[in-house]
Amino acid sequence: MIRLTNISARFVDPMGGEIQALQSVSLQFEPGNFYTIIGPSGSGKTTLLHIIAAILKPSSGDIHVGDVELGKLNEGRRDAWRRQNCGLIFQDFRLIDELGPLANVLVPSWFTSMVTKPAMRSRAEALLSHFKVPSRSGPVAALSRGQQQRIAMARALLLEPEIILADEPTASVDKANAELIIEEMHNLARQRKTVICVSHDERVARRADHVFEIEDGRLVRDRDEAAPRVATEGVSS
Amino acid sequence: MNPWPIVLAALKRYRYTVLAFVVLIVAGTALSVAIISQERALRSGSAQAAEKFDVVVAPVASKTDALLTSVYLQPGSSRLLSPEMTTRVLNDERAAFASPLAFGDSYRRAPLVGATAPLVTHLSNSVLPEGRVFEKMTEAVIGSAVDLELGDTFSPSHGTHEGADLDHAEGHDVEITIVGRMAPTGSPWDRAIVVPVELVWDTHGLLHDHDEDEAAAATVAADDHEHEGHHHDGHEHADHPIGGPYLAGETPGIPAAVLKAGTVADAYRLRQDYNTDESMAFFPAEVLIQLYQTLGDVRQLMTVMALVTQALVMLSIVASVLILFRLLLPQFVTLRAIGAPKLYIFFIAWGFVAVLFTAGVAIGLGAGYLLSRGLSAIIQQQIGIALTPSIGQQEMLLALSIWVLGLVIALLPAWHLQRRPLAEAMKAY
Repeated sequence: MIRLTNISARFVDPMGGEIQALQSVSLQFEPGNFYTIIGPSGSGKTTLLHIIAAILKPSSGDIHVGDVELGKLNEGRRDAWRRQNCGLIFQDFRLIDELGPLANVLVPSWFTSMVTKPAMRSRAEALLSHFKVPSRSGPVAALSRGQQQRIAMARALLLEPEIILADEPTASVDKANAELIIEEMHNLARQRKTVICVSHDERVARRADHVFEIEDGRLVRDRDEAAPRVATEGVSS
Repeated sequence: MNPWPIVLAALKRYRYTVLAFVVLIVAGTALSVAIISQERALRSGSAQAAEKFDVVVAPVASKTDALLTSVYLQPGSSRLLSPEMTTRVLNDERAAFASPLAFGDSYRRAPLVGATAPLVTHLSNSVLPEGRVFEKMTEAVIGSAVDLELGDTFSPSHGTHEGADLDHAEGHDVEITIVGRMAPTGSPWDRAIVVPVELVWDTHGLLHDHDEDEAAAATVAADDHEHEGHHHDGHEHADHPIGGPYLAGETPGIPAAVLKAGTVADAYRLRQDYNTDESMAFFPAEVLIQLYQTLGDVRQLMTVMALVTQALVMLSIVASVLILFRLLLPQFVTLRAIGAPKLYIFFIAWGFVAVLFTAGVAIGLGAGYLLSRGLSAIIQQQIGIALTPSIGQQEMLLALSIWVLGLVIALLPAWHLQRRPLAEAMKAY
């Protein structure tokens, strides 16, 4: 379980002024749920996602994931925690253009091991197969945006994280691919993962188990829109 | 931790820039390596060329000039030993042989060197691979690289080979037959035509006509740009005995003599005795050592300059790499976001630059060797000294130094990149 208590985040803008990105946000995320955080641009959604991912330390407040208090970890330990527990998906995929699909999926495995273990390779191939992307095609730059986002999802799932964090995952893909991605996140939640998605996309919000709305750094509404739970086959992890 | 796939991807992405960087490093390394290799080859080639010349006696002047004239057959001073001193030197019984040297003529750019049969045999390691030594004044032995055959005949021209006009050279009225070819010496003698010294004296009017000795003496000297020919029409060249004895009153002055000492002690005595007000005697090695010292100093200076230049090249490459990495920052940020430790980013950045430097230095080492070989060929063509360049310990050490320097310099962008806080970078990208 992820528990945020009175989280605030402040930044210094380039002009020297202070930006209050989040103000006393308290939230709780349970495994097996698909959460969507919505809100206008600049409302603090992504900052919240980064705090949950331990990329950013809150200026004040506590964030606990299980027994771990993320705010007390140094940067190196936060990196390790994120590597072991989080799968991140970005709006612009952030793949390595020159590498093929399989290599892109395997990237997280290279952070800790010099040699790619056969089991890891098999899992990467299985994930690509699940997402219907050929693992042996050329550089990913030549693939469609939908395929690229699916590769990015496979990469996020390689190390079997318990928490999936997605930042506008459907914003850069077509409708069919967006549906596929939403469905996949839904399925991951059914596999007891904690799925948290920041999005403007109403389709995402409709399928989420819980929707939080943020405005000007404050949690303004818990829409709690429970989406119908469709039992489709997800990725085993 | 395996940063190499990411490093290779980055190298691929910026392949043309990478190629330009590598070419810069290759050029710097190759030049540095070639300087050292060439200097050593020059040292060893010139030493080898001079090793058969025990003691050189010449008029008091620059020893370097005398060495260049006698051993390396370069045009030099026009000064001569007096006939008295010449007679004394050539008849010195402490020498196994004493050969006069006389220059001034050429044939098809090959210098004609007047000498004696024992010197020819000595330079040719006691045995001529083709033919025999000259026995008559109109016979010649050619150096190993002269493009003539045994039995060929020719008439020499006035003037040395340097700048000789092949078509309009003023010739001597004498026909010389080639009777032997010397073994390769790795020296300019390989391109020379050696004739009995008496022939040179004779064609310049010095052999019998004592009255003209002084006037003609200048023409015997190595530098003969303003040479005026002396014809001895009707002279019976072939009949004159060669190889001495060199009698007082009949022997003209010479620009230099080469003495082969019987023992080391004799060599030192000869050297001492002919260092007079009129003459100087020296071991070629002693002059070469002085030259090498200067050459070594120049080499050292150039090596330091090459290293400094190389370091500057590397620093500028690192600065460019930092700019290049700005384009890759989103990728680094993403890697960090998905869990890459700082060390992983450090290794990618370091690995990227290390690959550039490693490839540059490795190729540069090979290119340096090739460059050195090319320079050797040119030098051999120009001055006739056989150079055999190689890559030795010094060059390897230099390349290693450049490489290590590069790897250390490569730490800079790596350190710079990994220290940026992720949260801040995430906001930027």
